[in-house]
Amino acid sequence: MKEETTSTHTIERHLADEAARQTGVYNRSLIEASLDPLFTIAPNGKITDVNNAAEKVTGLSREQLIGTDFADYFTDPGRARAGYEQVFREGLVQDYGLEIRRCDGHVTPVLYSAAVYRDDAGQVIGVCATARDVTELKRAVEAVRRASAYNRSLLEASLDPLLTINPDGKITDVNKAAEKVTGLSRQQLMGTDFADYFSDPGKARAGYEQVFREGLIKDYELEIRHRDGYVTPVLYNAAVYRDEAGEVIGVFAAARHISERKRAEEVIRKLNQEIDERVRRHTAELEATNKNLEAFTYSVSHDLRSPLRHIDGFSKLLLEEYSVDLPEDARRYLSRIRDGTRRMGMMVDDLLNLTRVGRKELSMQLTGLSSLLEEAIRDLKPEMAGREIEWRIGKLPFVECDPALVKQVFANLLSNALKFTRLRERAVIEVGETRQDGRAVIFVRDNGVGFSMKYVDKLFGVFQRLHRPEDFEGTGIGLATVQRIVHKHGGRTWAEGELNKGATFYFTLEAVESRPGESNSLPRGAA
Amino acid sequence: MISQDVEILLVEDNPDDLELTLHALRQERLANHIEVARDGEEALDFLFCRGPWVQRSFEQAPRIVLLDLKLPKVDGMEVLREIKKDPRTKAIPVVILTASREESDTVNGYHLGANGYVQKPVDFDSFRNLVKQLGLYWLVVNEPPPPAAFHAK
Repeated sequence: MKEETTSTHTIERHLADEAARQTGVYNRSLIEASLDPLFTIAPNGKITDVNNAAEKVTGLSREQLIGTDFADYFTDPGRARAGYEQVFREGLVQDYGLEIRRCDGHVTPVLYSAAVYRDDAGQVIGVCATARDVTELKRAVEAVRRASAYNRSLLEASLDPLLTINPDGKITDVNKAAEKVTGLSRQQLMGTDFADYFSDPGKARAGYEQVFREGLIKDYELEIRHRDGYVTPVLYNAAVYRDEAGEVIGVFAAARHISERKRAEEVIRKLNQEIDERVRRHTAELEATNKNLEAFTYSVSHDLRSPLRHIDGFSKLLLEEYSVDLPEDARRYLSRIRDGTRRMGMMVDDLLNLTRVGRKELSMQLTGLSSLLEEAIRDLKPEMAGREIEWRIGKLPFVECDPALVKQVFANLLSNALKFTRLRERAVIEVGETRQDGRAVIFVRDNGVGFSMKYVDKLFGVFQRLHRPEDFEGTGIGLATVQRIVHKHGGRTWAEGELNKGATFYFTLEAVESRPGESNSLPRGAA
Repeated sequence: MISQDVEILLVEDNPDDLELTLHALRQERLANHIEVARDGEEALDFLFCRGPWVQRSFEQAPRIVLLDLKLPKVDGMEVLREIKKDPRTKAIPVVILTASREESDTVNGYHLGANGYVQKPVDFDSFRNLVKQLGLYWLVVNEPPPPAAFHAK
């Protein structure tokens, strides 16, 4: 019976063992099936069991691991020890970060979750610790952290104040530039009213409300108020941003300093004002000068001519009425006096004419230069009396000009041509048009005494003469008047000459040109 | 009355001009009676029969007034304005005889009703010739306004 009992006992035991074995196998397979490394540790920190995953992560076999110090397989053994001690003390830990070091040095970041296990008597006999390999997770977190740091640095790198606002108008984020422009720290700004930092809070509020309503605003003008009181004019560009569900969660607002621009504008405005002022002053001075000149020419006209007339008049009367009583020399002197007064009279008249040309407003009209030339030649008939003159008149264009003045140009140039060909048996005077840079150039050429190109610069000056008065009379104002008229038309004058061969005078009229036969509805030329 | 015979009223302040002009006029024997006014006021007194000329009648108007512009007291333009705005004097031919060639003077003169504008040349021969032509035209060629032309309407 005892035997039987024993045997029964043994069988029962065997069965129990078998069941236990089976349970152990089952548990074991569960443990081995786990992809997470699993260790059991005795209260002294020695490893009592491991699974395959633990072997893999450490690079050591079960036999090599069991009985060794758990803490030895971590990059930070102290922290590992502290971890399992905490478990023994408190019953469990969760997501305790550690790094397992494989025998070849490879490190695997893990999160440990561990709990004590007890014997039947409830006595703690060890810790069962599972490690979750978080390499991938860590990598992902790092990537996110980096991206976020990158974004952040972008935001911080911006010289424009940037901030985000929630739908309540509270500031939820700021960058350095925003701290700088307000004079307040990030901490001071966060959670406060966005609108409070502007000189016109109402307008600031209206601004972000518009963004929440319409999605964005562009170049919205505001003035940020620094804590010290000064303001920075800015242009706001802002847009809403959304969560993953597309729900608007805030406004991202960027302010562009316009101080520099405004300052530049101010500088430009001031410069313009200064220029305007200067122009106004110069114009006023010019007007005053012109008025003085007018008064001067008037008094020259009236006052200077009168005594000349008197000198000439009384000299003449003396010559006429007392001629018989006067010696020959006296009569000669008197006629020299009269010559002088006549010459001075001409000079005064020519000078007056020159100043009149300068003051005259151009009265522009489309004019055929050929007919002006004809008129000028007709007026010069008295000067041609008894002379042999060959006229070579080319085709001349129609131009927008002041006909009276341009006729005077022809008259002066032709008068010169007649004068300086006086010694030629046969004077040849040529008038025509050439083109230069696509622009009409009128020329008057003669075969007269010409001039040396050495003096070409003097030709158009007032009172400049290249000939002795007894050779060729003149006041030295004719060409100055020509130049004044041509300049008034925006054109230019020049001359070519050769001593004793002849001279050619050229002029352009800047005014818009028309060819014969073209429409005469031309725009008014430059005055 | 002496004033009846006045054919030319010469308004001229400058004695030299005056003498030369009178000389030229007399030499050509164009006018028997020339009255001279040495300033604008004298000219207006004569033309409007005032002061020393209170006995004069408007109908006895000069055939021509030769008017200098730059005059003491009342200047030539003002004299012209007074003459041409009064119906009793506006028919009197007035020729501006001046040294000025200012366009503004020409324009103003004609706007005020001047009958002519002549610039005194510096050259005495030209001046004398010009005075002769003026005299010939206004005293010989031109038909003067009849007395009715000097009635206030």
